[in-house]
Parts: sequence; C-alpha cells; structure tokens
Amino acid sequence: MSALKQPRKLSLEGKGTVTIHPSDYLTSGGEGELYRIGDTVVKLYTDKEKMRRDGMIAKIALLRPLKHPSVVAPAGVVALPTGEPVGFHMPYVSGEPLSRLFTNDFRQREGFTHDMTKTLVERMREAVTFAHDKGAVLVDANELNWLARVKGADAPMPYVIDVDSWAIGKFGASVIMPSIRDWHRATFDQGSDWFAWAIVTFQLWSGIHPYKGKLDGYGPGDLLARMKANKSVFTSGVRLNRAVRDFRVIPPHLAQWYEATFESGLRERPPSAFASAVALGGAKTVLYAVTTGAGTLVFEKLFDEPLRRVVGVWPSGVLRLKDDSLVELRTKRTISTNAPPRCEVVKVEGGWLIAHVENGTLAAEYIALATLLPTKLTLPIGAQGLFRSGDRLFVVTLRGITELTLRLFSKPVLAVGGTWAVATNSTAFFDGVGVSDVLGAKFLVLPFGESACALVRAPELDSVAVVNAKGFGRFVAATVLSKTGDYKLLTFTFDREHGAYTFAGRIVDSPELNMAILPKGVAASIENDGVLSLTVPTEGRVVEVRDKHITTDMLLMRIDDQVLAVTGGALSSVRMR
Amino acid sequence: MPRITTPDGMKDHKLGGNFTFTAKRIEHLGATEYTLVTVAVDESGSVSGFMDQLLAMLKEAVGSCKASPRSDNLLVRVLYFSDRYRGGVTEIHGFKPLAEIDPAQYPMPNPGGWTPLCDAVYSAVGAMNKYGKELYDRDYLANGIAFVITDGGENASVATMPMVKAELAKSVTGEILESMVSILIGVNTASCKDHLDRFSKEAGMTQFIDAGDASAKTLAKIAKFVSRSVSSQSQSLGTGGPSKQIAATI
Repeated sequence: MSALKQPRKLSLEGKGTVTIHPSDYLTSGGEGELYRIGDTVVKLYTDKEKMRRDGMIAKIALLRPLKHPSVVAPAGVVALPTGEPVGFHMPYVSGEPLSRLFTNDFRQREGFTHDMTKTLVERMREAVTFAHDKGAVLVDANELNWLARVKGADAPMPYVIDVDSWAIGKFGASVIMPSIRDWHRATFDQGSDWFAWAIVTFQLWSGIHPYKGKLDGYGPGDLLARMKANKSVFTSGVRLNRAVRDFRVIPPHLAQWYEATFESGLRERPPSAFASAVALGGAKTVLYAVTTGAGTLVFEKLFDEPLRRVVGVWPSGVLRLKDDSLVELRTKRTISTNAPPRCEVVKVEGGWLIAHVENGTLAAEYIALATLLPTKLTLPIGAQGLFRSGDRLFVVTLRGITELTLRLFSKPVLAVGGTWAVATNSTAFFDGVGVSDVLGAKFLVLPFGESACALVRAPELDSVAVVNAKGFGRFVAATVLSKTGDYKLLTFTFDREHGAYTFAGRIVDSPELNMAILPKGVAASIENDGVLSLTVPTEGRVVEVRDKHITTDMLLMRIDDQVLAVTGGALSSVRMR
Repeated sequence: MPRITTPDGMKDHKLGGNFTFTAKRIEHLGATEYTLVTVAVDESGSVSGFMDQLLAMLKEAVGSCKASPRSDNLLVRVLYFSDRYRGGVTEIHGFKPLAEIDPAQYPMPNPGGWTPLCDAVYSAVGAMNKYGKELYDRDYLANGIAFVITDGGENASVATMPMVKAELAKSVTGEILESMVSILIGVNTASCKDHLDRFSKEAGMTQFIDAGDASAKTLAKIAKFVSRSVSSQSQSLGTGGPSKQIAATI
C-alpha cells in the first residue's frame, strides 16, 4: 500500500520535474517504495536519512554508468523541489520473479523449455561478468532480485534489480539472503557472487535448492547447516522428490562446475552453458566401452599428460604426479608443487589437509580450496606414522591411533579427535585397515562411518602373515601367506554395527590386491588379465566383466564412488552404463 | 454446501474424530516444496451483518497470493465453520495449487448456528499435519500457515481443546513441517477478545490478532495481512527468510 496520500512533485536527475500520484504505486521493498511513471521507475527510500547517511548520491554516480541490457542500474538521483535527495530513478522492466521459473507448473503453463533455461542462465552469467568487470559485486543476487521476461522478442531475458544494494568502490553491501550466502567466507567478492549465481541458476535447471532434499542426519529446516557442511544434492544418500527435474538436463561441464562449487568449495567463474568444450577435469574421452550381460563398461580418459604421470590418487580427488606435485583432478589445479614422499591428503572443510610425519613429528598444511593458499598447521603430538581411511586421517602414536580434525575459525586449526587404544608397535597399517597382533591374537582395526572405529578379533588371521590389505565401510580384503606357502585372499564382510562379520577365503596366485572399495558398498578388482570383478560383499553378488582390454597393470583406485584405473601414468574412469 | 471445486486430481483424507479433508494428489504436484495455507472463516449466525465484507476479504486474501513470487509453491485450503456442519466445518476446497483456484467463485457465507472454534483449528492444523507428513514421506519440503477468522469464542465444537493442543504441538516440532504459523484473527470481538486471546494461548497458536470492527476497511487490512504473511512464510521456506544484515563474522 502506498505511503503517498497525495500527488508529489519530484525532480528526476536527467529527466526534469515529474509529479507522482498514489495510483503510480508499484510495490514496496525492504528499503523503500516503487512508483512507475511511463518507462521510468522511481524508488523513494522510506528512511529519510538513507541518501545522506549512506552517501547514496556518490554511490549512484558510480552505478549509473553500468549500462547492460540485463542490469537495471540507477539512472539518476530523485529529489524534492527543495533539492533534498529522497531516492533514485531507473528504467522500468517487466518480468517474472525467478522463483516462479523453478516450478514445473509455471514452466508447463508458459512453455518454458530447457533450451530457454540454457539461454537465460548464460545471460545471467554475462550480466554478473559485466558487473565484475566494472568492479562491482552483486552480493545479494537472490532469486527475488532477478526477473525474467519469458515472452516477446529476444526472450528469455534476465534482469538483475536492486542494483543500489551492490558493493562498488568504497561502498559495501549491507544485506544478503541466507540461502545464497557463502557461509565459508566472511567477505563478499566475485567468488561469493558466483556461489550465489550457482544456487539460483541450479534451481532453474532442477527446480530444487542445491542444499535441499532429504539427507539422514539433517532435519527439514537445516538448510544453513547443510550449506556449511557442503552437503548438497550431489552428496551420496540425498533423496529427492519426483518434481525435481533430472540433473542430466544440465550441460555436463556446467554440472561438474556446480558439483565442485557445492561440494568442494570451488568459487570460480562458471563455464558457459553453451560451451562445447569441457572446462573442468579435462576432456573425458571414451577410450573404449565393453558391452556385457550386466551393461556396458566404459573407460573414459581423465588425465593423461606425458610429462606428468599419475603415481597416486587420494579419495579426496587429488592426484599425486611423478614430479611430486599434487593436482586436483576436477579442476586440474596444482595445489602443491613439492609434496613430501609419504604424505596423505584428505578433504576437509573448505580445502585439503596435507600431512606427513618427519622425525617423529607431525607436519601438516591446509590448502584453501578457493585460493589455494597454504597455511602451516601445528599440533604437538609425537607421531610414528599416519593411517588414513577415506577422508579420515589418524596419527599413529605410542598410545594408539588419534583422529585429526580441522576446524575453520578465523584461520584453520588442527585438533585431535577420538583416540583408539591400539598396540601400534605390533600393528601393521594398510589402506583403510590395520591388523593388530596382540600376543599372537590378530585384530582388525577398521574405521567406519563419520567418527567410529571397530577393533574386531579376527582369528582367521592368527596363523597367517598378512601381506596386503584394504578396508572401507563394511568390507576388508587381505592377501595373506599361509603356513603351507599358499597365498590366500581373505575377505571379511561386517554387519552394520561392525560387531560380527562373514568370512571367506580362497587361494590366489599372487599377493597383489588390486581393488577399489567404494563407499556405496561395491568392490571392484582385477585379479587376472581379462576379468574385472564387481562385488557387492554384503549381498554376496559378483558380476564379472570379461574383455581383453582389462589387464592387471591397471591399478584400481577410487574418488568418492567412482572407480579409477591408472595405466602407465594415465588416469581413466571405469564405470557401468 | 456443494463443493465448488472439481475433484480432479484431489484425494480424500481422514483425520481423527470423523474429520476429513481433500488435497491434491502428490504425484500431480509440480514444485519441489510447498507452503500449506489454510484460511478458516467463521460462518456462525453472528457474521450475518458483514458477510459481504467477509467474502470480499476472503477473495482478496487468496487472490492477492497470486502476486507472490512463490505463488506456484502454495497449496491453499479454504473452509467455513459453523456447528450446522458435521464436524463443525465445510471445506470450500482442499489443498490445491493457487493457479487452480478462482476466488471469484467462493460462495457467499450463509450465516447460522454457533461457533465451533476448536473444530475449525483442529481441522485446519490437523489437515496440515496429515498432508505435511505425506509430503515429507515423499521427500517434499513443506511449511504451513493457518488463519482462523472469527467473531466469537468457542461454544459448539466436537473437537476438544486437548485435541487442538495436540495437533498444534505436533505442527511446530519441525519434524513434519519445516515451520508452522497459526494465527487467530478476531473481528468485531470487543466483547470476547480476552476470551479469544486466552483460547489462542491455551491452544498453543502462534498469535492472536484483534483486528477491530467489521468494517470494509478493517477486513481489507486483514486480506492484505493474510496475503503478505503467506508470501513471507513461503519465502522463509525457500530461502531461509528475507535478506538479512551482514554481520562481521560467520
């Protein structure tokens, strides 16, 4: 409802004097009222002191030159006949609030298609890029501060409004909607703008906020907690309703960018929705595909640089190259150029933790994902070594194994988490599992879940020598040398509580354990040339894929739930289609 | 009173105590999250002096919601209440998308009987809990807002105060509905506003508003209040609330 009760004369900079009437009222916002006079909209601030106190005349002078078809910038100051400034004017644009375009109902009613989404998203990217090029930061570009004209010539056309709230020059922003805020940083810059852009445009593709959908451990109202924990719709275990549109409508390279933004803290300019080249993670070239009874097995090249061979892969998405540099696979950014020989890399809040043990002392470094800036971390703890399970990292001490945790305050702080008493001097630590020998009685040491660790008596190991082992979640595989001189593969499949297990064992040709155990409960292994075994240990199901391209020199690894193979220093993904 | 809505795509639901309601079949919904809105209007004999304004208010309140940026995320249910109806309420339409509602077709209230206020609140909030749970089970996010507009105190309900309290308590746990707001609005209640205030507090409603007389101006204000509150509640679901001041720390 208009606060204006009678006509009022106003002076519009660059346009002369006009009279506005109560009937010209359009709407009210948080800071003022809008009136429309022909093709011009006048914004009158409710707070009479706003113009003077916030230096709005100078700010409008900075914003006025921002000429772009999608940017509804102030065009001049509005003043009373006395000369007292009371607001500003801008061009009139008409469009739908972006939130309407998220719903299937609106899209069906208005015939809004995925191709139109693509155009709209690209134009929104251009508008934000334009603002950044001019030194402005949008800060609060939420879905209600974007309009979209969906009909008429050149549609769909986005318009970003509320431009007077932008940060530019010495003028900062004062408000932001919680649902688009980058909760991992205290300042607002181009990176936080791209995060907000990601939140808003992702809903145009899918219809759902990227940190919604049901996820165990989070309630219906835990949006901000999910944002802070990077638990987006790409997180394994999120359940979505049937109104959510298939993410496959998003161009693959842009989908990768969204996932990296929501899950890993990437804060970079997105690739164009129209780009034909893959911008992130390098071009995924299909090396070959094998059709089997269980589906098609596809090998896709992910990283293959002749002078930079891959020698290791961490589940955190980081590659170790032969020249001792560490590279994030998703973006191909180098996060460290001189990694210690026996270091471990795990994903932590807002970046990575790189740690190694040197002369009985823990040495650690935090790499910020957004900036790649390293921060040295200290923790006075006597260390014999490190033990890693997925993205959980433990320091091995004389007392047992102690989990390392990282907290982001004003700066990253390394702290100790839970400690499990293990006779470390008589424990051999392998990939994700330890085998402890307590006076001849063997125990498995198996971290599981987010903060648990099982110590389980395993008498099947008592009379054998464990040569190699891998463990994750509910599954442990170990190659052992028996007293008769045979190599055996022993497997332990645990119940949910890790209190009991199902055991199996068989003789194998060699102690090699070429296996990747995925968080979703599937183990992929290559024991002999020509056969890839996919096992679901908890269900006892095994699928064997046979092809001549499958060889034992393919070293199987994993990142998240994706199986990878390193062959001759080149990295490819292995998946069923 | 005959239903003015088509039953197409709607499903009948039962609450306790022979209360029923209808709602859009979940498989027909086109948004990923919804704000459930209920407007319950008193149709007892005492509103006969201003039933025209009451109807105008209802049309304006629901019609104005169409201007909300999140109008396609609203499911609206409207009911009249009077003890002339079985269970104290009659549903004008169940929870359905705003785009499918034509407020111009709302029927003129036909005043008569006593005021089953407990029935009205129980039906309004109970239906939101029941439908909200179905949405939750199907992985939809939902919150709710209910308005009960009356000119008199409770005097004829089938539902009891403990039943009402239980439903309201269930609605605000955050386990089914992300959030829930329930507002009792008194019109022309000079003689019973204290009674209504006590009722709202005892039941556990979010707020009681004494709107004043039953003039066209007052009812127009109520209509605006309803549509703005609906818009605000829906925005809260989608975005965590309006833009907020930026603090120096995170």
